[in-house]
Formats: sequence, structure tokens, C-alpha cells
Amino acid sequence: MQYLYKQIILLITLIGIVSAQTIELYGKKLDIHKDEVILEVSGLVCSFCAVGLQGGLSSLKDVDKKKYIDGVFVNVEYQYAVIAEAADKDIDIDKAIELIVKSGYEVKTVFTNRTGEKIETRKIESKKDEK
Amino acid sequence: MKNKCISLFFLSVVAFAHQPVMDMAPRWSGGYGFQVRYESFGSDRTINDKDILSSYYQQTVWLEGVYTWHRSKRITFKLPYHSIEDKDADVIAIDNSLGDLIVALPLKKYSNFNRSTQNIGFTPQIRLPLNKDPGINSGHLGAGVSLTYSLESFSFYQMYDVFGWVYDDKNSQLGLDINVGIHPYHNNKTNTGIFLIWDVSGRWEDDSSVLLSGPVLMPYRHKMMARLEVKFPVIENGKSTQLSRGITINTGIGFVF
Repeated sequence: MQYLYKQIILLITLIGIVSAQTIELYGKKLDIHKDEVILEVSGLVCSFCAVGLQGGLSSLKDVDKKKYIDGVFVNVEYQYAVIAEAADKDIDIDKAIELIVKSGYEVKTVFTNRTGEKIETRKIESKKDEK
Repeated sequence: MKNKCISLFFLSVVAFAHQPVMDMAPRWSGGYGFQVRYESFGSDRTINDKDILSSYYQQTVWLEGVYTWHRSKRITFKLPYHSIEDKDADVIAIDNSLGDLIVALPLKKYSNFNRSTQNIGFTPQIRLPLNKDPGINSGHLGAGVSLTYSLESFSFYQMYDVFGWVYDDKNSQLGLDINVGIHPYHNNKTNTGIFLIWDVSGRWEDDSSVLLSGPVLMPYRHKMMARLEVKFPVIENGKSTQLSRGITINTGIGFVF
């Protein structure tokens, strides 16, 4: 029985390795999994301010709220947000960018790994909400 | 019981408290928050350290709220409830009453950089008397403006605020607040952390001035942030005999949504 458990854990680990790809943000290496979107957000240094951003992104359709805090992880040290997607669903990235801008920040880059084999990088033109 | 407050001239310090809910958050459109703050100060000695038979002690509970309809536009209110004990020789005046409502319209221009964010703020504000029987810290119509600059990175925080007030009953007042600090701990998984800040507050009126300074501790967790500050009088000047402000203790807790 113990042998079977070890085999299952090994299989899960291998699947994880295969489906994850890596990027680097400010010297920090990040794995991008198949069902995740990573957004590099400039100005995202204020932890208390990040609460609004977290709440906004959690409200998006097709977010897997079982992961992280309601489906969103915010790292203010390296200025990025991770959105967990529900299985076989894709979140509306443009809507996510709009919410981030409304929260007072700018999105620089969006990283996705839809196929689980290749990271797609989308640079975002400065889309300021200031008047 | 309420009597008209008496005693020696005491430099009033209008609260333009740079509290977390008012300045750091909510930065997002449609965000709102509130906080409750307790402030106490007072002493029984003069600014030149003479012992006299007078004393002044004030405790104030502030109820404060904010609404952000765009990151560059907010509206805030501050409503104080004062408990003042003012003693002059054998005469003691006690004032327990609602103070003046302060309504402000902070306008902010944010700039985001790779590893930091800054904002420049301009805040017009008014002070509306709610109590027709003025105590020491209430009953006066006032108008003020402030200019603020704040720069924040993950590890450091700094904020500078210059402001002025004019009142219908007395001299105008100028003020300067400086907050410089570090952000030594943050947990991304729980959004929990702490700021350690040094605060400097200066106030100038026609015939008196005061400079206060001291440490500030600001722990936060998710939507809640608290602030505890202790400020000591570093410089106190006045033309007339004047009581020292003594040690100021300011503690508050705020929530944002």
C-alpha cells in the first residue's frame, strides 16, 4: 500500500513538473502552471492597498476560489498577482487588467501557460486610469 | 456636566491624522473604510517647566470614514467626541461633548514605478461646528488645505504633509507632518505585516508653536490595520504662560472594503 502511495506522489510531481514553466521577475523564479495567469503589476508595493486588488480579481468569472485567498495570490515584494483559473476555463484577462487599473496600478506583462507546454507573454501598453 | 473651558492658552492641534484608512487605502474605485481612533494628551506643567496650579487633559475618540470613487478622488469625514478636564487653581471645568466635524476631499495623483509607487495629494477641507456652545476644541468654523507627498517601496515608506487652517474665531495655523519608516515584515499568503515609522509633527500659530515626535507601530492583517503612536513634545514655544501638551498617545483601528 505504501508503495502505491509513493507511486502516486511521484506521478503527481512529474505531472506538476511537466505542466509548469518558469519565468523570472526581479530575480525571482516563478512557475506558471496551466491553470494560472500571472500579471506583473507596477506600483504594487503597498500590502494594505493590495487588499482591494485581491478582492477585485477574486470577483472575476472562472476563478478557482479554492486556491490561494479566494483564487488570488498577491506578492508585493516582487509586484505580481497570480489568478487561479477553474479547470478548463480561461479568465477574461482584459477584464483583469481593467480591474487592476481601477485598483490604482498598471499592468506591465501578462504571463499564461494555456497549453501547459509554452509560456505566452503579453506586454501591456501603459493604460492609465488617471484623469 | 459642561462648563465653558477656562485656563491658560493651550495650543490646539487640529487633527489631520495621516491614518492608514485615510492615506494608504482604499485606493481602489468604490472602496470605503472606517476607523476609530483614541487620542489623549495633556499635562500639569508649563512649557518652561514651572509647576503651577493648572492642568489640562484631553481625551478624544474619533470616528472617521472614507469613500473612494476613483483612485484620484476621495471624500473623508472625521467626527470627534472630546472629554476635557481643564483645571485652573480651584476651578475645574469639564467638557464632554461632540467636537467639530471635519470633511475633506483628498485629490491624489498616483505614479507607479517598477519597485515603488508615489502620490501627490491636494486636500481642501472644512471644519463644521456641530455644537453651538463652544468648548476649547469645538464650535468654530474653519477651512484648510493640505499638500501631501508620499513615496513607498516594499521596504520603505515616507510621507510629507504641509497644511494650513483658518478659523472664524482665532488665529490661523500651519502644520507639517513627516512619516518615515520601514516595512520589516510581510507575509504574502495572509497579507499580514507591520510598519515601523517615525513621526514628526509641527504646528505653528501666531504666538505659539510645538514640535512633537515619536515612534509609530502599524500592524495590519488583510482588511484591518491598526496604529499605535506615542509622541513627545520636543519643542514648545509660547509668548504667554502656556501649559505643555505633554505626551500624546494615539491609537486606532481601521477597516477597508
